[in-house]
Amino acid sequence: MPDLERKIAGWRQRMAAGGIKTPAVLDELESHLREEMEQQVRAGANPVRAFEAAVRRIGRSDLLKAEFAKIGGRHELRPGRVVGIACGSFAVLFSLWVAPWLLTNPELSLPQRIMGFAAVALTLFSAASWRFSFKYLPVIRSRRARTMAALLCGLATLAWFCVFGNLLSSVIVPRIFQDEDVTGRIFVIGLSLLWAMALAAIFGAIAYGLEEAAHRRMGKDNYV
Amino acid sequence: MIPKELVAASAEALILSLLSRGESYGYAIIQEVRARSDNHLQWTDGMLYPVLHRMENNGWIKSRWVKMENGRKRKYYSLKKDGKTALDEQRNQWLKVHGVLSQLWGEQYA
Repeated sequence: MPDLERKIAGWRQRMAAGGIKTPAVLDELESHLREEMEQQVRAGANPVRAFEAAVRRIGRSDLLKAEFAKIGGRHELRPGRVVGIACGSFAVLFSLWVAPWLLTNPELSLPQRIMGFAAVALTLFSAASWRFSFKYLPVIRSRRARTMAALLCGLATLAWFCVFGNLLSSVIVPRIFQDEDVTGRIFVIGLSLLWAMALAAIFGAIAYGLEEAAHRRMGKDNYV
Repeated sequence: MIPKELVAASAEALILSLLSRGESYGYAIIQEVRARSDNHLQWTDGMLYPVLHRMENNGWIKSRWVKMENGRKRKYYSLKKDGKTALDEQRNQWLKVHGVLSQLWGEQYA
């Protein structure tokens, strides 16, 4: 029935114009609308009446939009999430960039290889910890306190990179440059960088985990 | 008819309970709640979906699109491990409310 299909397309456009913009949500609502229409037609209603009744049952787009807007929470970019994603992405990307050529090098000694793999594993574990760390981290109820905690984690990461940079230039490099083995020096710098990234990933995981702990364990009405 | 505030308050517990019996989709959830309550419990149909999406965001349920024989798609929801925990918590809370009311009404109408 082309006329009915036009009506459904028009309803979909009105919902989109009313603020339901996500295609997946519109698909789901349209699927519901069609099921309801079919049910009413089976019960004896004419298709146009069935369509009108189904539209009424779905409700107004502005009310739906307001309800969907309340979900926000998880995807809202709070400071904890920004710091967590920034630190985690940087650490993971750097580690995955360095690890393949460093850790597969046949000249790497076994202890060095183990140290390198341990650093990469710790980085990946920290980055993935958002899936469960919210269960174990404390719930900070105050949004301001959570923002402060996130900024502290971010600052701690920056401070750590400054400290690490100084260590690299003043301690690590001078010490290893006494060594004649050039390849060995590069290995030490590479492994040190992998461990530096692991710590950055841990700070990021704490920042993200604290926001998730508040979001998931405070309940939808108390989470601010 | 049950007022919409009470319907809204019980929505999560109802959805979690239904999904604990197996995966389902929005339209079927509404129909089942309506049937089991003899039409006393009614949502504005569209309002179910923000609740489902919020529960999915909370990590309680997961969803998948399934293509039907007629070519159309349906989004099926099922319970996750955290959803089972949430269901246990909500069941305890509702049973406490039920217990207090039963006790009071038992005394009142004894």
